[in-house]
Amino acid sequence: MALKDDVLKIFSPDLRRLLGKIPLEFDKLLEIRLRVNGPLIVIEDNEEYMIDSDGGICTCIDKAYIVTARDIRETMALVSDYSVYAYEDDIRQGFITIKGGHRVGIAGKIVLEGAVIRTIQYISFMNIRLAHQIKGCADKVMPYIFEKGRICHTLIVSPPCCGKTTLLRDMIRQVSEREKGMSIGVVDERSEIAACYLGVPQNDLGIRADVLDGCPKAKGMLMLLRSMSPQLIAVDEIGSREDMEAIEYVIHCGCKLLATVHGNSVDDLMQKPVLGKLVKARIFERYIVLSNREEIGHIEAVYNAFGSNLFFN
Amino acid sequence: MRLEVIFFLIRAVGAAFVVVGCVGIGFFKSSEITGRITVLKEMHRLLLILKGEISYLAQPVPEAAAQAALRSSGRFRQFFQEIADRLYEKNGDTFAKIWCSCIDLYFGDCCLKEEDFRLLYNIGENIGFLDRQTQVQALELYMENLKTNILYLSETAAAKQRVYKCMGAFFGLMAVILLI
Repeated sequence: MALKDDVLKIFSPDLRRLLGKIPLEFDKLLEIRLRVNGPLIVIEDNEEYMIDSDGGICTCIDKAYIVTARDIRETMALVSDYSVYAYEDDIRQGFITIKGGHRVGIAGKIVLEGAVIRTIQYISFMNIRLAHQIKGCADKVMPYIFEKGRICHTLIVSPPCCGKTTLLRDMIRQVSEREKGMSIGVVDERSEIAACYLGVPQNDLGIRADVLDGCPKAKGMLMLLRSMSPQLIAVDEIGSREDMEAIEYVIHCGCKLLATVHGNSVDDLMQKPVLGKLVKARIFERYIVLSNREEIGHIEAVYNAFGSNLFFN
Repeated sequence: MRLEVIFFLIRAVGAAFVVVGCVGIGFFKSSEITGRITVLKEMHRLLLILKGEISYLAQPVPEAAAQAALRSSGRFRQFFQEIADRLYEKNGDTFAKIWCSCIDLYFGDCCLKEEDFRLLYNIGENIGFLDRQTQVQALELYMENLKTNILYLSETAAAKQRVYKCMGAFFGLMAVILLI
């Protein structure tokens, strides 16, 4: 109920009225899509549904409620707390994180200043992705990332949309809440891990996590190291040369690392010019490989630094 | 004889009430000028706080209004707190509607004139949808207009207040003479 109330508040009065009546559970909704002059669409369990003018589900576009420019404008005002200026950086990146950790993706006409994106004008498309933290999804892998009582440098390898951030989040939470928990510094560049709203994490990262929200990963890791004395640093989607340099520095300072990267397998990583060097040097002690073969977040394997699979499903 | 004295006394008391009443009205109108200047100055100060919250911290409007409420008192605190509360509520009203209705609610019965209300309503219609730099500049423009009004009122206040007080006494005496 709290999820539904939090989400409905950001919509224009007309959309709020309709979405409040839909015969679907908000706990299972993944996305709500607004497209100007297009039908109102919601996605639940990867199934798409059009909403009609009475808040019911329809299959025919002729009966669907058509989203107007005014709906989008009013929704944008509410999403931005009547303060577009306060979300300039977020708009530039194409999304705003709202209370509850939900992300509102926006699209429209890009305004460039030279080669840099200044803002998005004429916002006509919005994608409200509802956040669902899955506590306990890391239960199966937690025993494998510790060796002799100490956590290993761990890299989660996953193709897009296979649950790596969800897994990372739960791993952070569980490490943070252990009896002899570690203090964790989280560099949340895209506000996906903690989903901070006005500085407050909307996802539960446990009692010992400090979050740098919206900060570039390389800079963030060094800042945390200098200022927050973390025992473990967690980052999402590493890839650039600067990220790798920061990672080497962090590891050689005695701090443990928990990170994610796009890829299908550890062999994939070896092909990458910068990350491949770290893999070959056996910097990472554990690799957790995910897929969506059976379900989103399916754990394919957990490898150690020498390539031996430690995990059997 | 005694009756004449009583009638004379009643008339004298009545005349005194008329004069005091008219002088009182003169003083009241005079105090309205002071009150108007005070309200406009306080509004100017709080808009400065709002501007600071926006320009330095990029605070969203609800938070900026809540901060302004904390740093004010009386009807101003209630005004900004009501704005913050209604914005947090997100009941679907536009910011301009919320701002204008709060202006009417908390300042509708005070000594502001129509031109003051027009300026205050305009502020509400230009907050929230601009980029930070333009937003700050828009607030500065309204603050400059407010400051101009305050300066003008302050310079002419003394003279106007004298006129009101004198006119009050004058009309009081005229009324007594006419009635008698």
